[in-house]
Amino acid sequence: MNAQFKKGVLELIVLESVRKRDMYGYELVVEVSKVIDVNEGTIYPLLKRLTNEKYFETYLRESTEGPPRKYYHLTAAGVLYRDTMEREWDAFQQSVCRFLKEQKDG
Amino acid sequence: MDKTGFLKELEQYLAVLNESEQKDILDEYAQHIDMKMESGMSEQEAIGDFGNMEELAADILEAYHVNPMYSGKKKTTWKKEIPLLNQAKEGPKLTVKGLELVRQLGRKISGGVHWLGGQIVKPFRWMKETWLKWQKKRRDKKKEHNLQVISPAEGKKKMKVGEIPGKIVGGIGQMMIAMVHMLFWCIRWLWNICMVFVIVLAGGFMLMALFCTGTLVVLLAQGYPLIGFFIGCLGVVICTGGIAALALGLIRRKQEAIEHA
Repeated sequence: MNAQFKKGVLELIVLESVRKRDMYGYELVVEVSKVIDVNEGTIYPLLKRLTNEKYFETYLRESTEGPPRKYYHLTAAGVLYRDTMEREWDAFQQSVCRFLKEQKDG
Repeated sequence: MDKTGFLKELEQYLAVLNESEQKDILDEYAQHIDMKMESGMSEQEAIGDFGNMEELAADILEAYHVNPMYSGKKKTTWKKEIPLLNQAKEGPKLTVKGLELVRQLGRKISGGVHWLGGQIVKPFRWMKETWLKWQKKRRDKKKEHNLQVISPAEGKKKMKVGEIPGKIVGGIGQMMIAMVHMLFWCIRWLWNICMVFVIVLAGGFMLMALFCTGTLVVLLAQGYPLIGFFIGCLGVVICTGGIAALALGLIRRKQEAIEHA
């Protein structure tokens, strides 16, 4: 799949994944990988950026195995941002679909 | 490449970021690799999944709004020489601050130049204003005179004998006031010229002494026994500087002159 497609929509998928429950990095990578095939390494920078932009909060929680894990939590700003992104995605996706359909019919 | 090798290489790419951020990222990747290995993958596979190291590093730096071109592999030099880049977000802010400072300085200098220009032009402006006032007065008088010419009868009626000397006295009084004004202005102007002269003289001496002090510092550093001269020079700098500042403070401005008058 076109790498640019993935890049654009990755943010929305990450935001949506964390919305329901807080997740730690690896967990999130696995979750996102289920939806789109993406280079796992690129998700961390994205998380970092969203955290820097205050859409995510992070906290450490001990785990039974290994070192403590850093959990990501969606902030109120993050929820708003996710909603805007979803709306944008819907509009975008619909207009592209409509265009393709028109071309096919016409 | 094994895990430590991977992390080390990645660290070099991220050298521009500050320590805690670097550690944060590297921890995440280390944990990620560990977990992949736990789920049954080999170390090599887990690392191979990250793809090209350069692209990965570029992606990370992009998230910090850092141009990946900056992330040379020369970790130590980068860090020590350009602390600004350590805080990727702080960089632009500091630049903006610097610009703001330069702009303020520029504004102050231009303000000073403007003030100096104003000081120089002031006497001329004052002369012009007085000239215009005087002309206006004359015109008004002429008008009055004309009116009187138009209605001579009324004029004659109004003009009493006592008015003529009164007018003369008034004129002399006005002239005296104008002369006093002129005198004050002359005194002020002369005073200011003196002060400017003092400022230039003292300032010149100060610069020379400053230059001497600098030279003496170099000589001192080379081991010449010139400490006495150095202290003397420093004294001259402070003295002349103080005199220049005093003279600058003593320049009379117009507002004060008006109060005088």
